[in-house]
Amino acid sequence: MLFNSIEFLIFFPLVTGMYFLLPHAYRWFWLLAASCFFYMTFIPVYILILLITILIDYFAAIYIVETSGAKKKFFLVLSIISTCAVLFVFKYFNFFNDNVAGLARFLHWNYPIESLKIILPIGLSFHTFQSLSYVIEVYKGRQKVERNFGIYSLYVMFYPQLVAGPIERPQNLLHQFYEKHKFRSEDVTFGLKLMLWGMFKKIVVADRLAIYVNAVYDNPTKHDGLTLFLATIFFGIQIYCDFSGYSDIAIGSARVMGFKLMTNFNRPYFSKSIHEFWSRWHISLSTWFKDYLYIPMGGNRVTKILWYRNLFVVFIVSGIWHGANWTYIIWGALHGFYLVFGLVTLEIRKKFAGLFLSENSKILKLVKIVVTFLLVSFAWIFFRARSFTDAQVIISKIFTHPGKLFVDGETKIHLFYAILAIAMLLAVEVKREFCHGKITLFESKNIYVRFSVYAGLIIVMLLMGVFDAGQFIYFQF
Amino acid sequence: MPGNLFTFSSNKIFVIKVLALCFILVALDFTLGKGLEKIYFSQKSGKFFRTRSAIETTRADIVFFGSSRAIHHYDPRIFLSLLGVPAYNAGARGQDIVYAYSVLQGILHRYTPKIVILNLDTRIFKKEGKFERLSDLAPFYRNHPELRPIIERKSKFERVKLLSYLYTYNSTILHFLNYAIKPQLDYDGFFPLRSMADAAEMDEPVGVVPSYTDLDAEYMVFYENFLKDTLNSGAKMLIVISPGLAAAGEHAFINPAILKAKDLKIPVWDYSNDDHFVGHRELFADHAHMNETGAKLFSSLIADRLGGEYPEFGFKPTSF
Repeated sequence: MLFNSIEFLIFFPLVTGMYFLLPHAYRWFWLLAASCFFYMTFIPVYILILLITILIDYFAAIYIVETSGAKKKFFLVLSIISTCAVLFVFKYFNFFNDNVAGLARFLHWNYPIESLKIILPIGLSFHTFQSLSYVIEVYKGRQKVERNFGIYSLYVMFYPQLVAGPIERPQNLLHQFYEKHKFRSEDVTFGLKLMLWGMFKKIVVADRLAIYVNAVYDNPTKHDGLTLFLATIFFGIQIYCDFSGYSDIAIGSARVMGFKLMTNFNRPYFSKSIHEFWSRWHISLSTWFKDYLYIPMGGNRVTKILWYRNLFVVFIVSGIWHGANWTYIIWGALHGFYLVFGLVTLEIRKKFAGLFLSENSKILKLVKIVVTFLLVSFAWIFFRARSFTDAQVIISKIFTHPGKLFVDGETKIHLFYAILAIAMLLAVEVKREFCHGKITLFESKNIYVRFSVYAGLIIVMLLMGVFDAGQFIYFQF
Repeated sequence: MPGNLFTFSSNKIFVIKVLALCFILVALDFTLGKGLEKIYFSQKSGKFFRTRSAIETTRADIVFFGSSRAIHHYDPRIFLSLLGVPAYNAGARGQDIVYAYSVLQGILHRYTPKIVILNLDTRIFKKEGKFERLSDLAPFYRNHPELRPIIERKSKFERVKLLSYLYTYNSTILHFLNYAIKPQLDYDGFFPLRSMADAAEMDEPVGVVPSYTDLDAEYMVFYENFLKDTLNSGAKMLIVISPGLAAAGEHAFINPAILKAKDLKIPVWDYSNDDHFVGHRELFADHAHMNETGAKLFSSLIADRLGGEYPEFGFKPTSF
């Protein structure tokens, strides 16, 4: 069930309404049942895979607290390996197998193992990471073990963030299932506004841009550099609106029931460096990697070389997490390179910029924002391209063959809709980033202003939205 | 305590506000939607105007159907001047057999043309975005019951979505503005292209007719129904494969769509390898579409053959 579907429009009020009507003692069970139903609307049998992950980590955590020393560590390692094995089989086996088969062909070896014919379970990487974070936190002693199997299952399966995050931590989410949430109009209003804005980002901006991006990226050889450049910029905005739109709907729908999920996006394209970008983009994943990979490897409390290695490794793993394809690995490596290069050249860049502009100059800030956006957009080429060869073609054409912009009759109109949608998005994002509190729309104390904004947004969605219930990009991860 | 939804007065006020907002939204949806309806049905040019003309106003004896390769290839003025019979081009850019079938239902609901001509190519069987372009027909949902079952194929809950007047006119506003600023003139549905194909287009195959596996089964049903409904209405049915800049090759003759037409004793006129057109860049705007010069020549050729082969309509043979 997609958030941008009529099914969800029926499911959400029904689940929320029943949640508040039921006695507190039964609410967790209702949410768990609703979450199972939500997940089973994709591929029903795949709930068994989720059950395996849940069972492994539920019992592993109990054994971890009931043992000590080497045994305790053994259960942690066992849990991590078993959970990751499920992820490997469904997400990475074919990629691994194809590469080994390719190598075998190159060396003229006989390699008989065939690829698996399976579909990747939706959101597998998300709930795997959420489940792992629980076991690790229990091992570290920062989280009490959860003995109620139903509540633990709900922690992994809570429907708003089940298939595309935010990847929650047990300290933030688990205790909320025990709290009695009253119907609070403030929570409901906040949640619904967030959902409305998320829906706008998804159906008005992301899905509209997708029309142009797909047309161009599906046939990169037929388009000139200018078109490919525009499609790349559009994809950067599309993926932001798609994913942050999903996160907004997830956080909003949880908030309506009184649950507070972590922030996942904080206007990342206003970042002035790649480092800042990663503190504002997919925050729940970035902090997961920071807590469970970067810091255990030593973080920045090691020699400079090891520090750079740590950063690079984290981003390579981040690339692999996103998808079983070399293009994702290159995307991750590029970001790792950006970060390391940024650190190595920090002093030189500061001195150079200081020759022309002061550190607080608005122009310098703007230049930094634009450069960061362009660097991130360049990396998106690998993320979106169907293959490494396509990415090569796109990059080569952008830099060597600008040519003409692809605009025929219908495309021209789609482009206008896209530009209009981006302008609306930008107006709101700029206001929130730079004019905080000066102009209020959603938060206005004047009910007429608020109602006008709500009604206006819904009218814009009905008139300009793309209503083909397009899949969310991050579902595939 | 269960059922504590309305314990606090602030929550009651909240519910009243939600209901008020819902009422405002319904009122706005209706009034703005009605305004858009008025604009839509008063269009004087552009794709909405052409769709409306085909479904609601034309009474032409010859009606052409198909994708962009129909709308740019058949000039009704030629048919009127050579045969003395009014014709209408109901082809539509980017559209498929489902759209053609829908428009045919709108036409057959009002009258029976003498002959229906379907321009056959792969585009009318396109698989990507299946049923998506049916949104072009949404404005006809309320007043054309004959189109409802087809429009409802767009999505599972299309019937519910179309309760909204604004949704009915989704993605139309910029078209209205575009056509108001720059009218897209047509000649009884025919929309001429006025450029000439680049030399690079010479080798691009049109893909006039693909192999069987490329044809979508659901679309084949629409195609078959298109042919049968036309025949059942009493109109003659003719299939034409118009030429591309490059020759289509022999695969054109093994196409199941052609075989299906032949099963139903429907003539198929194949011009995909016609020497008058293939390789003549001056007659094409791009590899797949003829320009106005090419369309006039092609229309004359078809009109001439129609005059010769359908004398029962009073078509007069010309001397092409």
